[in-house]
Amino acid sequence: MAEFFAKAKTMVTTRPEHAAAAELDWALVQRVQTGDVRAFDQLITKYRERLFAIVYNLTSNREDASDLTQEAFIKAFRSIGYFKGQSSFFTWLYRIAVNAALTHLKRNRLRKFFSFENLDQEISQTEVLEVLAERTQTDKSTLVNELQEKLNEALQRLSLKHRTVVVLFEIEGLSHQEIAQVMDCSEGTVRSRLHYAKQQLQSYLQDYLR
Amino acid sequence: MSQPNNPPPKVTLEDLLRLKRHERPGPEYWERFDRELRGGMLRAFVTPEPWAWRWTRRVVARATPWMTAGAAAGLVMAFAMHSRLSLPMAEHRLPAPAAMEEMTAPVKLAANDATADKALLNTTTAAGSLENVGDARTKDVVAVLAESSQPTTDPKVSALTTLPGKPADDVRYAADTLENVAMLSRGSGMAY
Repeated sequence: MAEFFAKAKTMVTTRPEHAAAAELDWALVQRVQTGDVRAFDQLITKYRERLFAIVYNLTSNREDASDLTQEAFIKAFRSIGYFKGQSSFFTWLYRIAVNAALTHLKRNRLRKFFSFENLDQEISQTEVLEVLAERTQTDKSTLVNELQEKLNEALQRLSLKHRTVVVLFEIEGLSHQEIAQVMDCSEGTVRSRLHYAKQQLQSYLQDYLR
Repeated sequence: MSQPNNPPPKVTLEDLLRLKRHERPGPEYWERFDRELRGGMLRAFVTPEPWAWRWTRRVVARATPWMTAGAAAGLVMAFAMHSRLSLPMAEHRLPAPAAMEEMTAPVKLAANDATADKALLNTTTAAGSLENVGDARTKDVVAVLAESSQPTTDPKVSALTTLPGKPADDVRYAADTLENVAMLSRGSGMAY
């Protein structure tokens, strides 16, 4: 039975590298299910940064993102016994994290407090930043801070569903099919939400898009 | 001759959104994160679930098949009750069986009316040949018909007076009584 689900899980995963990762994850999950808690540490190390990035980009608050990521891992650990492998582990884990973030955002709809994460040094070497700095005749560090603020503002103006799709597709690089599995909707819905969200973002960020 | 300058590359929305990938915490953050997460997992592992939550989950797990079966049985019963209740209501809407029979029964003509009926079927028949009709209602019609010596050419009237079934039958239906023909001819002022 386990082999059957493992095959099914591989089939629903679109990309080959994801399929290989899913196989490895499934082996780790089975070890956790048999009582090897250390195997879960490997899963945490593998997914903590991606999970944090998703939650951070949804909330635009680093403290909330930290708490929610931990909460997602604890939930996953508690219910890993119920995970049967019908979907890939990362889809299942992403769904837990996204649901935790969305529930948090719905509860605290009125409380909007941003706290941005640090930007790494690599950003200053990006071509986009070079172009924008030259065009606006602005200092790079000033431009970086301004862009970070504007991007987070623009994302927060989107509805939760649209924001989630943009974060998962454009920032995390998930496929439409994977997003559909995480959000429990059809691929068509993902595409239409993405299209609408991009239109909205284009209008919010038109000063930079020339 | 100076070479034309290349236009600056266009910045797309995707380029801007990709910048967000650079917002990530440093390695020192992950050390703290791991420590906190381990503490949280240990608490979750050690702290038992609240009794209410455990009890609810157990009850729901046990009751789910029974609840499904009960809901299905309820639906079947509701459907059966509805169909049983709605049947007498439908009967009430209809006229009493006796009245129905009377309304739909063919009218039997007297033996001596057969000639008159045949004559009425053919509207071109002369009124004079209908004098031996015995029925009172038919007599009225005959009187009306007698007022007119001209044969009708109106197709509507012809259609009305054409009775179903074989013309030779001595049966005609209540819905097409000759009264209707008479009333129509009076109401429309037709010379009949």
